[in-house]
Amino acid sequence: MAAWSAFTSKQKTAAELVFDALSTMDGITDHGDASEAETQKIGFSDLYSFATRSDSMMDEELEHALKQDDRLRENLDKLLDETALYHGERVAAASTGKVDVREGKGFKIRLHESRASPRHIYIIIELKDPKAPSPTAMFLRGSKPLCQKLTLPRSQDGIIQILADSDSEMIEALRDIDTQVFLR
Amino acid sequence: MTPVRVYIATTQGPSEVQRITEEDPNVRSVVCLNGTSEALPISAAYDAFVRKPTGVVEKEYGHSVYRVDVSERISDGKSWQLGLFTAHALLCVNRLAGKGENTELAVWVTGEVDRDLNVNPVDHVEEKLRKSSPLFAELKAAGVPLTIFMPKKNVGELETEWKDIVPLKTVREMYRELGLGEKTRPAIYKLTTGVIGLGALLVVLIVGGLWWGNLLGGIGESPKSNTAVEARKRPGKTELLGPFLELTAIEHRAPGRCPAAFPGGEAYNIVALDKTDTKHFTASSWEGLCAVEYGLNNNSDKPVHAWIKVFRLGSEPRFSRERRLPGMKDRELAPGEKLSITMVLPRWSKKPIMMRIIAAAGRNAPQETGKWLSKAKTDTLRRAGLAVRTADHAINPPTKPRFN
Repeated sequence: MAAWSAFTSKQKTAAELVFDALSTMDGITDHGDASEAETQKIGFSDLYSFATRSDSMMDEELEHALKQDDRLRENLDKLLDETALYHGERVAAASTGKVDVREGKGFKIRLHESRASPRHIYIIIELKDPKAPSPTAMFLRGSKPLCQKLTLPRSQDGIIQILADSDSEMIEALRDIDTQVFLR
Repeated sequence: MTPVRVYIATTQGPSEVQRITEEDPNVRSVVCLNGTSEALPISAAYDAFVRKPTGVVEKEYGHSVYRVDVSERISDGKSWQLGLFTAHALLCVNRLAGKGENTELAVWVTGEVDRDLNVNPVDHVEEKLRKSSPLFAELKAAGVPLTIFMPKKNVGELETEWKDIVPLKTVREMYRELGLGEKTRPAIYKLTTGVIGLGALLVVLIVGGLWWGNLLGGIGESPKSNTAVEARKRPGKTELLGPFLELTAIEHRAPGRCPAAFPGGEAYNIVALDKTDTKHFTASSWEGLCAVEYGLNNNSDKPVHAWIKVFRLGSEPRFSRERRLPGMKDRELAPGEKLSITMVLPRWSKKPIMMRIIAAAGRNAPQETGKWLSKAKTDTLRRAGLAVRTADHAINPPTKPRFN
């Protein structure tokens, strides 16, 4: 990109006129929805960052884009599938559609109500090989919300324990047989 | 015997042990913040401190898994060990004061405990004492006697002279000081567990029945109920925190044009903006403005967890320097610290830029806070017990559109 200072005054004036025209056009086509205007195109690099970086969390823009774009959702699924250490498929369960135990290749997840505080639930991830690499993030790919991400504490002897509110979306997703779990 | 309140010393201030409850042996022990589901980072170390064969709590008190609730964060180290061991010793004889419960004695504790129940020295004791001065003053004003337990070696290293210190070489001295009985207490506990268990079951059934009756009849909770205390206190705490949280906006102005990438080594004129009212910063003029730093100051005397996010109301994305606005930021703020987020202005604009800044803070960090804030759900944030601050900031367009 050329430095602004390298342009002649004629070029600068021309550029300002074009920008002015484009801005006017944006004004005409702008629907005035602040949240929509704020949303900019989410690209593959955003998805990759979400799937692989510990500091990149789900935000409003990404969630909105995933809802709108089928291809983006497919790309996210592929990315999670390729980068995850462990993958738990949808659960084939009886008609109730709620589960407290999920098993995947190399791991098991148990939900256990706290005796001390019944409004809290322990999520216990048991790695079948305690010496295997320990995941640092859990992704729950479901329908509502589309994808949740949770940073995991370090495993202790192959066990990772998290405490969650019993009415949280995370617990709801883990109990839903249609949710897929990715541990990365 | 009177209940005893236990305070664990930290370099951020004292953390009160609010409750210890036995958990199911199928889970791991956990230390939670203030009754919430936020597990503190010391949880794994506490589990090892409790559980046999490494831990001492199960060996002394017979159960392998507990949940502890504390009032303030305890981040790392091992100096919490003596405090939690003391709390377990008091719990065992039903003398641990719960949250909101009246007490006639307080203990302030720091120290490590090894497998032979020796008390080992720890770091930063002087600083921990200094940070607890407001608590000591409060207790004195309330007429609650205080005992300070710390490792004997640390006592000799103190530069300032403190009263009421009981130096410890082993936990036995703590037992003696609190009148717990060195050897008989744990043994009695183990022998009588079955009898107490049956009695406790009856008590639970009776109390449970009364509570249920109250609930159905709408009479209200017992004044000593922790739930009742919590329900009354929580909104109050948020209201108390609110005035100590301050939103700020600081302009970064370049004498000439702004650099292509902020900050770019430029020497900026820094201008702190006033507020026209509680919810609006003074509008900024466009000329020479490169970025605005929005911040949340913690002016309280306690650490809080804080979040901040900026929303742009209306935009000209085509000309943005940054493809997306800065994301949300959150972290723990010590007293006097600031959390800030910088919005770099687009290079060109002919419309006003309207920003909305939303910040939330609280002693706890509810899991869903980030999500609520990203959706600007301020009512939900308040309902979760967080103090919320919002303000709008307008940046007026240039008189004649030009590159900044």
